Amino acid sequence: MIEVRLRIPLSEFELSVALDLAGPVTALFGPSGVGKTTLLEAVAGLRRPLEGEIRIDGELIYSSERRFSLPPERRRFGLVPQDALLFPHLDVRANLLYGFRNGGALSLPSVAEALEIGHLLDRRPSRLSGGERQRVALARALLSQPRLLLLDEPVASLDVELKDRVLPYVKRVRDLHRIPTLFVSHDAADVLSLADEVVVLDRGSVVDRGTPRTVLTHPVARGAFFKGRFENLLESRVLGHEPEEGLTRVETERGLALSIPYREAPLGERVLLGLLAEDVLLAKEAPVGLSARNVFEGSIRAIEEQGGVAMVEVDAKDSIYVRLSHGAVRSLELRVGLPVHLIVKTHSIHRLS
Amino acid sequence: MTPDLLRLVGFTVEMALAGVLLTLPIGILLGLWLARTRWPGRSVVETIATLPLVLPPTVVGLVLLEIFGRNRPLGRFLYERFDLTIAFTWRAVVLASAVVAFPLLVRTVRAAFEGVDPRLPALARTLGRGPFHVFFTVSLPLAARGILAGAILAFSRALGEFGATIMVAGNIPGETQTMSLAIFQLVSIGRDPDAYRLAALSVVVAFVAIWLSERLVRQSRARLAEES
Repeated sequence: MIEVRLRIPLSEFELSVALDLAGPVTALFGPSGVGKTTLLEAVAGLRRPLEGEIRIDGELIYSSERRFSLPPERRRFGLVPQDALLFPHLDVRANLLYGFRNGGALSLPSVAEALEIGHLLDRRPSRLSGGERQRVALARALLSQPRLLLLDEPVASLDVELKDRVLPYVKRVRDLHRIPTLFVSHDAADVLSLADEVVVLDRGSVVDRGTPRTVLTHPVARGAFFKGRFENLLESRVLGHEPEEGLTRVETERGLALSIPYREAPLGERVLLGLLAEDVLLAKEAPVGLSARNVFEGSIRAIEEQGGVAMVEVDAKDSIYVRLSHGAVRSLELRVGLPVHLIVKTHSIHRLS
Repeated sequence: MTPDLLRLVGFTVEMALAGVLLTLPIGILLGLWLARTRWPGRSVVETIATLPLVLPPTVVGLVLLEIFGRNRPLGRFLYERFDLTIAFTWRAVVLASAVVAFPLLVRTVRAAFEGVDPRLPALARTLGRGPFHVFFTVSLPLAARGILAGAILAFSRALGEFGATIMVAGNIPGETQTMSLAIFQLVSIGRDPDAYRLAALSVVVAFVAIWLSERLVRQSRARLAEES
């Protein structure tokens, strides 16, 4: 159990959180610049909060009231920063052994094997690829026998292909070593595949928390994603396949039928689908002669405008969020309650799990 | 080269080297502190540390004489308590070299530490290592080339020291006389050819020092660029 209560003033807002995290794997979720990394650094002891208290399994780590702060070297929290931060003047082996602590469950050969970095031991960090760096940084943190792992966007800086290679390692670490983990992410798919619990941060405050599926498919987490790329998450079931058309038919829990790109999957399998709000078209009248496969009727439940953009929530059995420009909302004279049609290309919908 | 000349070159190099070694620990600590602190008074400290670079060396010598002269409080204390004379001995030559070279060292060292990502030592501590261990295994090695370059620059400056040295150490052949002081003396007594020979020799020594320093700085920069 990790108890974190912190206040840290940032340049534009104040980070202020009070959390009890049961884990074992907790995700801090939210768009960039809301204080996720700051929170992680404060827990690691790299940044002094204005006030607050941190405990792990009841042990006091930091308390502003008692003027107590356990120095970072005695916290035993393994930090893996977003950019890996390997020691450039040391080879991989020396990096891994920098914080090595004897007597723990983890040894260099076992960790190197699990993360497939055994062949890199004599290399300099400058001769490693991005995915290799992340794995070495993770191994280095593990070998210090941490009682808590702190991962900052463990896979975010990687492209999709690399991500598919690193993610399994993070999962393996989670399953093999059972080290409580707090990780930062702005990617819903990563959170879904790794975390037991998710905490949604926005401008320094906790706006929602719960299991990843309930939080991320629920509209409350949405406010946080106004600025960034917002993804509609649709919990669905496979209904049938039309391989000759390259399609798989699915239906969401609330009965919205969708066509997605063909993918082998047994009938009835549950899949989680992602659909970017900016990939949805909105029409006031029923469109005709369209190539897009997914056209559904619905009505506008809410319109939220901020900056030059608007998020339109459409009730089409499921709630679908559509991102439009301010001007589009004006010229179409959109208002709450108005019946509309949504148009989605098959290939705009992708599987997250 | 005559044995006398050799001894003179050797003495000059020795004094400059001793001066740099004397300033190195303080220079590294102050450079590190200047690179890391956010204390608003840091610019004042920095200005004071730079003063010997800008002031006329004779003024620096005069100040040192004021402090370490036999009849001055500290000078008298050192003499009476430890039987140690500073002014007009080889120790004053070292002292003058050290003070005059100090700003160059501090400024280079500061830049070297500023080139080290402060998150690296911070991360090293999360791996369970204390601040001293981290300083010697992360910060110092990463700044080492820059520090070495600064030391060589300081050494070059100390090698040619004249003004401060002549004020606080005098120009005593065989005791406090360095190459630059000897050249001055040779010219003033009309032995120009000897002075020119010595001048040519100092050009060679200075050339080697600067060339070495530039090379190290370039390597250090290239390595940092490659590693980041």
